[in-house]
Amino acid sequence: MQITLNGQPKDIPNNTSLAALVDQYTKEPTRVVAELDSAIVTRDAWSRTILKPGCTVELVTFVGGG
Amino acid sequence: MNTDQLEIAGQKFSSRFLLGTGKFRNKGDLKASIIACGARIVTVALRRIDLERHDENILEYIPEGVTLLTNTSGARTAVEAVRIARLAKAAGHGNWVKIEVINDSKYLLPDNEETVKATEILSAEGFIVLPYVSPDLYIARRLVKAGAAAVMPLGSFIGSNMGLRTREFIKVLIDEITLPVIVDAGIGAPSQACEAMELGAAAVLVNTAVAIADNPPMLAKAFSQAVEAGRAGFLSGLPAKRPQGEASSPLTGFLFE
Repeated sequence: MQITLNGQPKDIPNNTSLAALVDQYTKEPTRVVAELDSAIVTRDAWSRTILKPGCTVELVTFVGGG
Repeated sequence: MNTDQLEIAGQKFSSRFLLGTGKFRNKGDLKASIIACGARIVTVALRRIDLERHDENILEYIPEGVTLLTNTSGARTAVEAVRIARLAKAAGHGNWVKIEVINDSKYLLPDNEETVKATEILSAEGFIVLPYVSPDLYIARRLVKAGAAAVMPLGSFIGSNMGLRTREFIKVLIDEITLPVIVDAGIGAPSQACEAMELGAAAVLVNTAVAIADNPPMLAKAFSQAVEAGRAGFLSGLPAKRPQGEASSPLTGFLFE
């Protein structure tokens, strides 16, 4: 199924959890914040959050800035 | 023990020099600079993770105990700034936020109106809000009412190294606003940071100048020393300028009288 991750279309298996998606793209999940369809999903809810076709996920983290 | 500490939202800090973490050539320089200058508050930004490469996170290079002040860079409206602040808070590294709302890509001037709106919303949600603004008395008064923890007027354009071009307007804020005034943006040399502190600023924030210097830790330390010197100058009660000479040596007992 297709989702939008950080503005890019991505094909992922059906019933992928948010936790699995995060693990696929970062080694430091504790530094990442996830937004699913514009709502923040807290880290403790990632594993029980199953992604649906067409959903929009944003994964953000801290970078250098002034 | 330094008794003259920077106080923001009831919290005390041993340094009046805040360091931004952007633009450093490498993260080792960043860490060495934070240690060299003794900054107790550093700014960071929030961005989408890079899906192509697993980069080391900037937080690994920020010493334990340093307060993270997340900026809302990238926000063009109050709504976007609020969204970024909430995401940063969800990361679990505190609730300090520097509101930065910018629509103009040439001068990078902050949108004061949107900044006030974001400050109202985030203060009400319990954030410690430090808004970055053009120095304007009426806006600063509204920020006080909106619950800001400090006001951060720009010295000159972000990254310009032009120094304290807004000096007289910042002085108005220092004189009229009860919140700490932290001069942010455009400070490109220790002498300029010193000038801001002599004027009565509570603190100075620098990023670009340190990050792009040949020796970032050396300049970071020089900035913190300049900030301390300027603060001491301010507290000492600087004498007024005079338009003509006044002898320092006694005017009596000359050999030739």
